Amino acid sequence: MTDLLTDIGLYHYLLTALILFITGFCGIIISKNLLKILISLEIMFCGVTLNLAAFTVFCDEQHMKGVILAIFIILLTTVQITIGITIAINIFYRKSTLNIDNIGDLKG
Amino acid sequence: MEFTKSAAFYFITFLAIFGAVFTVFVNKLKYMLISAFITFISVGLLFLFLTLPFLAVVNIMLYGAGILTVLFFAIVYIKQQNADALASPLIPRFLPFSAGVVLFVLIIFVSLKYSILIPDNESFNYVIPNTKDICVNMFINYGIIFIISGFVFLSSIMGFAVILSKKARGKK
Repeated sequence: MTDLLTDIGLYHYLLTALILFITGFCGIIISKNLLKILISLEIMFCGVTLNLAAFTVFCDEQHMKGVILAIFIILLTTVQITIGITIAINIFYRKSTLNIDNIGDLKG
Repeated sequence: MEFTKSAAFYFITFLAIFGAVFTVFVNKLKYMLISAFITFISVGLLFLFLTLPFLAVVNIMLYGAGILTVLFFAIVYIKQQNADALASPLIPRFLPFSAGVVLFVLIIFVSLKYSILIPDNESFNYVIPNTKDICVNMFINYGIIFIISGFVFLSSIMGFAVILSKKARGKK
């Protein structure tokens, strides 16, 4: 039991990543605000990246492939969040709200 | 030394999880940004614990600094101070959260019961070679093409964002 607490291994990182992922998922389900949903999505991606990095370090000796993939994930997530914020601002211009319940139509 | 390292890991993990939970459940957007910043910094420090300093710097710069700055300006721009002013009351929000907690407990229970989180060498040898083949094909055989297409994708989406914002401003 003491070894499990003191020897930090793969499963500690996996558990942390799982908690981050589920917290972000709960945030997406609970929140009504578009910006808050975007932040929750980002927390989910943090969990995914941490999961990937932990597997890379503990299962790949060269530490290169998974790191490159994680960097790509971070870059594309940044683009995604930027686009999301732009769309949120545009929606706020047109609807004067960010509540997703009031954004129901997809007409041009 | 080992105990100090473990204690630091648990402290940073606590900060990351606490910041994430606080981000999800706080109402004020400025407090949400601060707690999200704590979460992203903590995740970057966890990358440092994994001896991945470059990934830690990228995570802190892009998530902790870049995106949160854009979000801060977006919040200031739309002048919306209360995140959940239009949200549903507490009871319907509590139900999906409890469902998420039940899902989490269920995943942990099933994982411990059937030893999914503690795989033996055979399962690792089964899973890892597939991932390894994908990585080898993607990043060694087609690495340059993949990186160039990624940058093209990045610049095109950023251009889309700029055009979209200009259009809305013109309509306004």
